[in-house]
Amino acid sequence: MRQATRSLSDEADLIARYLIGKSPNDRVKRRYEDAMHTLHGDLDAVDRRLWKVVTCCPFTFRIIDSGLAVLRPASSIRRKVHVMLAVLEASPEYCEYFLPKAFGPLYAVNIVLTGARAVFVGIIGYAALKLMGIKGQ
Amino acid sequence: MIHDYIVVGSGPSGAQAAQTLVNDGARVAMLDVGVKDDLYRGMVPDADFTSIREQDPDQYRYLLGTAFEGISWGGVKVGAQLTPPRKFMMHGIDRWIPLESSTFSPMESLAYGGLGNGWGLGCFVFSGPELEKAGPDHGKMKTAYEVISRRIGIAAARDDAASYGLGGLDCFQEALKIDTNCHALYEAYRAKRGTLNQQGFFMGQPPMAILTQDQGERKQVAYKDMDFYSDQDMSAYRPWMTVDGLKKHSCFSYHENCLVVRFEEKEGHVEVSVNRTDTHGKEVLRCKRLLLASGVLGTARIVLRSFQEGKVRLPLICNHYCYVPCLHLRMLGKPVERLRTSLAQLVLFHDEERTHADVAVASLFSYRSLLLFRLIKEAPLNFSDGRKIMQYLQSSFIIAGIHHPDAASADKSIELREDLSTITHDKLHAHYALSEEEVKGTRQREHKYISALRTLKCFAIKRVYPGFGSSIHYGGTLPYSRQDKPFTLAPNGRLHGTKYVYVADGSGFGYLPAKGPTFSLMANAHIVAQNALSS
Ligand SMILES: Cc1cc2nc3c(=O)[nH]c(=O)nc-3n(C[C@H](O)[C@H](O)[C@H](O)COP(=O)(O)OP(=O)(O)OC[C@H]3O[C@@H](n4cnc5c(N)ncnc54)[C@H](O)[C@@H]3O)c2cc1C
Repeated sequence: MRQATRSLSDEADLIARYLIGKSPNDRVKRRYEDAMHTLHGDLDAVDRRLWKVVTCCPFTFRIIDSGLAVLRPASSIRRKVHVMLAVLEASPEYCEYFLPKAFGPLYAVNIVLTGARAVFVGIIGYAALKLMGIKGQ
Repeated sequence: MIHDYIVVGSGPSGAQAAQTLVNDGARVAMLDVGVKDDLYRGMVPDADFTSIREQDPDQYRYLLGTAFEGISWGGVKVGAQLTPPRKFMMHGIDRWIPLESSTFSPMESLAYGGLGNGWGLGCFVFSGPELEKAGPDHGKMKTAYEVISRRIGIAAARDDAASYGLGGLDCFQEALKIDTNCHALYEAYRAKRGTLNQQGFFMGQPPMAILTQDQGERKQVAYKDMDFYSDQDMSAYRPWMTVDGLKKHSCFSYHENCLVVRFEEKEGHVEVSVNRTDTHGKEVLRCKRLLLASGVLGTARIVLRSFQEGKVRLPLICNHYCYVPCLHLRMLGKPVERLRTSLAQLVLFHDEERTHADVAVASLFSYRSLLLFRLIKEAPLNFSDGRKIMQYLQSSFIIAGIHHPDAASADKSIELREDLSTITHDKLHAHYALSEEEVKGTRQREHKYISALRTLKCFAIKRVYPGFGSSIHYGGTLPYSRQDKPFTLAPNGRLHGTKYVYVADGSGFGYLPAKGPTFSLMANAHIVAQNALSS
């Protein structure tokens, strides 16, 4: 049980770093653990394989998530990320990453670049998953 | 003991029917399952959405749910749009009133206040031609709309859309404030009004069952943007407020945990059989007049059981619905105000012929209080970039919920079949399909909506079809008829084949205009109650 909790806490850390670029506080980690205990997001064989890659090489997270978004949008890996996203959004310490605000005109350029990157990584991710022999849902 | 009147159900129809009876001095018993929310009531702080988000460390409890039930995954399911504090409305459904269908997924409620606990407050007056097709008498409805408006309080504007939404209604309060996003859209509409009107499009503010001036204990809206989570200042009308008020009258009694199963007419009275949902016991209550207001599907179950005529199929109608998330380019990267409502800000009616006989409606919402994580999962992007992009786009989202009118056809029906595995030993089965012509007509209309919105610099991202039944507007199972046919209603709301049984919900509406039906259901319930009083 303690082992499982530790791994969920590590998981929370990994996913939050991927989503907002920093480790979450302990309260968010605990909440993520609670959520995952309650919602049971068991991984199937394909997801387990991909999750292993993500935990060993965190820099692949964006690529694999992008590929899954197109090929297997209901994947349990995406579900984990979705749960973390919800937990972060409903925490006052991280609400600034979600609430609407006034963005300067230069930020629009940033968003266009982010969009372009998302599409590019999407193509790479799709190709990578196909190369790994992963089929769509 | 024989009650004078028994009303079944505490939703908008039952609450208003009972109010009319009690106002006349009648002795009324209301039978209801009456599920209540004991978990979230009192949990949501009295503050605006942004302050809550910035300050409350426990916000996840009501935003995501104590069991994280607000984090839904997979396809669009019935009830997925409900926030955790509203989900109690659906408790007990599978157990007490099961329904099976591969083509139709309705939302039903056994809650105190029924589906009215979560309704979007849109109050629309049906036009003469619409009422003619639906059934209720136009002249009587005109008066009844005024009565209900006075009771519940409606905020509305006499704008371009008023002839569609408000009709000739005289009694209403000042309109709600529109948020920046929809205000900019409305200004764009005003600039292009001529062209859009020619195409049959009319935009304005929807009449809403919400107060902009205090009324009794209920306070005027404080624009906290928490409308989907709590009813703290009671500015939004919920039927339980009416029933709470009725409980103060000595001639009214409320009986919870009572699932009405069937009725039987005896000499001079009606016997109503009830399954207790608490003790699982059975009871029989007696009354001189029975008013069924248990929701269209709930009433159908009771009526079908009571007649036990073997295999009977009843017609079913339901507005088909699609929603279209759009980007309103003028608002990209712009700030939005703290104080607003989460409710529909505008409506766009489409009446190509301008006859008021075949009108579609799009309700236009801005997006904030339902949280971003729900939207991000819909985009085919990785979550990390998706979050950043959606946060930027958030202030420019307009969600257009398009409702189409519906009429009966052979392909839309319900049937009660024996099923010994259920508590009532039966199960409602529904079948719902549109004809090719209906599909073509609705798609064309949606296309026209999308072009009209594009004219206003509001660009559709995609069309989402949440499936038949998801509009939560039902009717037509026991249509009004002047002929004494089984499973129809006499013009006064009495169920043909009975002497003392009246139907006060939407079962009699043989046509469902695209506009939300609830205001008309309440007006009709008032008329049916008056008819029961004078019978
Ligand atoms: C999220 C949402 C948004 C909506 N938005 C709008 C809107 O903007 N405009 C609009 O016009 N409409 C809207 N609606 C629809 C509206 O809520 C319904 O039209 C309305 O509630 C129907 O009222 P009713 O009283 O006929 O039935 P219900 O509200 O379904 O009430 C039925 C009542 O009967 C009781 N009952 C059922 N069966 C039995 C039984 N066998 N024995 C005893 N009691 C029983 C239940 O406990 C309940 O109290 C919305 C609904 C939802 C859920």
